[in-house]
Amino acid sequence: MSTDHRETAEAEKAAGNGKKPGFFSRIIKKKEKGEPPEAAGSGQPDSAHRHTPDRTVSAPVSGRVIPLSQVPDEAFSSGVLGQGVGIMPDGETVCAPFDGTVDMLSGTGHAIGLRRGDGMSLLIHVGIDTVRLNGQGFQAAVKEGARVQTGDTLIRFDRTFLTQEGYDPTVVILITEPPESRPESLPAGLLSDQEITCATEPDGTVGIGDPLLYLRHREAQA
Amino acid sequence: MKEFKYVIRDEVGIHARPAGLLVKEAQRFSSAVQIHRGDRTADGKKLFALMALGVKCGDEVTVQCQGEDEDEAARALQVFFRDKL
Repeated sequence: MSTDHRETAEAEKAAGNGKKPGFFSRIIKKKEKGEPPEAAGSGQPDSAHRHTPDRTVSAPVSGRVIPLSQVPDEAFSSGVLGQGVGIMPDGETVCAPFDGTVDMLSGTGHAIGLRRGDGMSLLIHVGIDTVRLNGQGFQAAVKEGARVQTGDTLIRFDRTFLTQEGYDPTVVILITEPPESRPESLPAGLLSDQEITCATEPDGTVGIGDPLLYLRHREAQA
Repeated sequence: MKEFKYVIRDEVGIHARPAGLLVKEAQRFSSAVQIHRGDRTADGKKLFALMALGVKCGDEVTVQCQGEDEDEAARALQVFFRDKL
């Protein structure tokens, strides 16, 4: 059985579902052109060209990319919640990186969990230890359970306020569930750090909607 | 089925960090783990479900474990709550 075919079909469905085109579908289209999706599982993750479009996660916020290991909160840097990156934001808006559902929205508006149609789940956590602000400086633009489209504003935050209050405004973006549906019994559903590739060099900058993370195929890690 | 009740003492409740650790602990066991708060219930093995429960300091939660290793799971989770929450 080829999972590639199933995933490709899903990607095509997602790309051509007739909804208003996301503002980075342009990027995705460009990627589709050059390479057959079959090449993506061949275990050579170095080049962006080897990844199928549904394995890209775009940046939900603009700023400077920080390796997860350098995020100053062990809950994130240890990878216990999932793999991903930090972004030191230069803006104050968090946007949906894909069409999906708001699976979780913290009452304080500082963290949001999104689920894509293929099951991939993403946690976006704004700032370090900002749960202690109890919502001050955060404004959620969506509700839990809402369907969102690529580019929709999810959270607005006051970066200056966070900094003034002594909080590190690093936005942590974690893949908490990989795209494949996996048996419930498997531990955590977490990706290893070998399974994702950052689209930028450490300290590189991204704009909202720029490619941020690429996921390797699980087959490739054997 | 094994269950226990616990009143949260952590001042910010079950936010990302403890939720992640709790999920990891719950996933060590084959038993189903459910966390109840008021009339809401979350799968203790799912991060978003647990975070969405919005458990705060002073809230009482009921933890239910059901399955082959429910005794062990309930014991381990009880220790987890006492130490971390």
